[in-house]
Amino acid sequence: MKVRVKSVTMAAVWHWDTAGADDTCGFCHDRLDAPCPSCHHPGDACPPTRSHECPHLHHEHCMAKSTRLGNAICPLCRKDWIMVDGPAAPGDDSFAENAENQAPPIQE
Amino acid sequence: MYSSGSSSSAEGSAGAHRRVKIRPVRKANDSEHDASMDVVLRAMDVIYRPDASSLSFEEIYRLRPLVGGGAGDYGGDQGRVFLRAVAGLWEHFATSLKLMGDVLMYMDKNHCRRPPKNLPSSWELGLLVFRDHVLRSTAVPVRATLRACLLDQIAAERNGDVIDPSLMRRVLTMLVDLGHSTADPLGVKHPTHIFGETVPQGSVYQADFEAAFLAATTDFYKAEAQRLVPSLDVATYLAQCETRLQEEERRVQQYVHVSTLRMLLQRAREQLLSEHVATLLQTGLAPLLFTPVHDPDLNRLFRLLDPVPDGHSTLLDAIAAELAARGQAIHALVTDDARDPAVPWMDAVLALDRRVTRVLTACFAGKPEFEKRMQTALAGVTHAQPKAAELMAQFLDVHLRRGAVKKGEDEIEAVLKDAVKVLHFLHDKDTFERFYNQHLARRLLRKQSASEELEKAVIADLRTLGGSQFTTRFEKMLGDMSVSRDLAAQFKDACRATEARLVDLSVNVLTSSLWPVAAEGADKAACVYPAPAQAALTAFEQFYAKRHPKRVLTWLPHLGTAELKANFPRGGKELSVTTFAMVVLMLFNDRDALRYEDIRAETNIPEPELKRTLQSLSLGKVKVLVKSPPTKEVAEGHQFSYNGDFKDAKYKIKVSAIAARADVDAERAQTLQKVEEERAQITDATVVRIMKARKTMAHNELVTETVRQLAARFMASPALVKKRIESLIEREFLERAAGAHSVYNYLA
Repeated sequence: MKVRVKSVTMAAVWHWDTAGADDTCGFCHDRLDAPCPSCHHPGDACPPTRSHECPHLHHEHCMAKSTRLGNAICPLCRKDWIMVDGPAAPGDDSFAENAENQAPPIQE
Repeated sequence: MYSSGSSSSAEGSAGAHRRVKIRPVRKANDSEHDASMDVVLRAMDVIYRPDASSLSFEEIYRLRPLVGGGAGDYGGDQGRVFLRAVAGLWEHFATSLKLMGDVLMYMDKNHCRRPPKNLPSSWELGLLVFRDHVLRSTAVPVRATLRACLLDQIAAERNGDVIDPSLMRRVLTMLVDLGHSTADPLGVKHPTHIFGETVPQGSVYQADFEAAFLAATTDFYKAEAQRLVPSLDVATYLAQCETRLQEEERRVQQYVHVSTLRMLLQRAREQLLSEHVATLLQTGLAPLLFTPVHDPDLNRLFRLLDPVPDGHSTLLDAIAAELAARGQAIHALVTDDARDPAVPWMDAVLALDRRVTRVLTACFAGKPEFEKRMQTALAGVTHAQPKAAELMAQFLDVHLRRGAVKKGEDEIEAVLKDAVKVLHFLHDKDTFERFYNQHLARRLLRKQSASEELEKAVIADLRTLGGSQFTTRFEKMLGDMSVSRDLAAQFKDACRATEARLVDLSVNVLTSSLWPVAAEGADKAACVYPAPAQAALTAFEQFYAKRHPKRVLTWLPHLGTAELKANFPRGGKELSVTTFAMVVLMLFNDRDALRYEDIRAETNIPEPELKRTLQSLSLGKVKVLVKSPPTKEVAEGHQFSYNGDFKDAKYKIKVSAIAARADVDAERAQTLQKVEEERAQITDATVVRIMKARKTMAHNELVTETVRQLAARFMASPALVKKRIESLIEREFLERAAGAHSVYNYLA
């Protein structure tokens, strides 16, 4: 049989690249792919955040809330939370917001 | 001319130049008094006599049989002659009496109606005389005859004859003017029994006419109703009732005294309507309620029953019963083995809803009690159907899919709007949401939507149902699709820029939390793709990574499709297949036959999917592969081979995935289970939230409040809430209060 593929339509789901770590936020216990309790929609507006000190991931908003209350520590291991920040750290798993690479905003 | 009863001492103007001397009034003495009285009485005679000749002697003679108490044509001409005679007599009497009043004015003004004796005036006395000696004459049965004439004239008119309204009015006015029936100011004995009848209390009008009139009315309409109700259909009967009632009102306008109106109409309504309401509604309501052409009749029924006591509430009860019966018929449409009951069921519900809305405005003037009761009945129809949420979702799906329903776009839009309106009755809105979500996902991913405009319109309507919370999710799904379209275009540009010759690939990138199907995607991802397809997928992964460095893609092959170009000996074909089918078919490029287990090993497709795929390729209408043995089951050792003899009239062929009944049921059961799980979670969250605010609460109060807060999403049963409370206690979110048994405390 001679069969040739002309076109393919596929569906794919995107996840945050958690590099194997647990994909639940330690504060709100929701999946990281889902929005934090204050946001209604997931996406670039509600990203996860990582720390230099430990491999755990949490919602950026959840961590920000906790920081404002004076607790900038990881709820799972209680190490200080030093946010991985700034542009292009070497390697792919930086969570830097690179303005050029942002996808166009979701149409309302 | 008149001579005055007292001599005056004015000496006339004849002796004008003589000195006027005014002498005191001479006191009357007895003999002069009698002489004066004679003069007065003779004068009265004269007053009364002039009009006596207005009555023709012949007419009066002809009245003898009538008044003699025998049979006479009370209702016809003879009756009118009598009435005319009486009226004439009265009018003459009244005029004369007024003249007398002028003569006796001094007496009336100065001696009558003053304490202590409070004597009646001449007018009043005159009325008494007429009442007791003419109207209620003991010699001639005037009263009875008069009454008979009046009633029979009215009866004749009710039967369609023409009578003389102004004559009736003159006579009835006379009765009214005669005042009170038993007034006896002078202590003069007046007759209490006349020709075998007692004279009742009240006014003359009431005693001598009204009471008998009302009784006659009752009898008349009782007989009419009994005659007509069985023989006429309800609409005609109601029209007749309305005519009769209008007739009676006219009668009051024309001659019956206005004070009788209320009771007259009441008696008529009682006999025509109240007595027969049950019968009328039982047989006649259904056709009126459900046939648009009878709207005016239904409206008439509404108006006629308004003044009838309990009229509207009886009507409402009957309507509710009819709607319930309709509801049952609708319910019967959904049996266990009915195929696709969604559309017929929903169509019936919508038809009923439309009818109710129309009837409320056109016939019932939007009266609130009616609206409330009928809407409740409608809601009841939805509640009776346990699968209502699902059926409604299916209905929407069918109408939003391309080509599934043969209706114009405007018509579809209208139907969808109506459908969303009925959705408000649903208790299980969360079940509906989940099914709608699934159907929407399927439509979007398989490109089955009839039009994006229509999808957006429906979502906008749904916002009224559950708020924007309900719908933003769906809007975001549409958003994902639109973003994916843009991405695909950019990807294509990027590919062209690198001049890589890749398979044409378009990817729908989904946000996992929005799409229900994506949740179960994880275990189906590990499929081995044919090289050209894999190359394209890898290229896309890299392209996407550049745009979203923080993100990673997981492929969902069970949701994908492919277009293949296949060269069969009997002609080349274009095949439209699922991703899995593509993977399987590509294996046959370098081999003619393969065993099931080999295919499984080489493709890594999960077993249930693989079996289904192989079945659709070899056992369906389009047999691209040949299966041996050709049984329905796929098992180890079965062999599949390339079908060299394949032929088909069409060039472009779609090999659709067989959705086995068992699979559909399984999917449905799974969805329902998810709904239950989600409900448990939300109930927990709600209970905790309430307890956190109130710190301590009694069991019943907690349950009631929880159910109330959850009502927007679904109707929670107290049993469910109780169960969740138990679970929360176990997990130490709450505790039972130490002293009181069914009181809970919040545990921080």
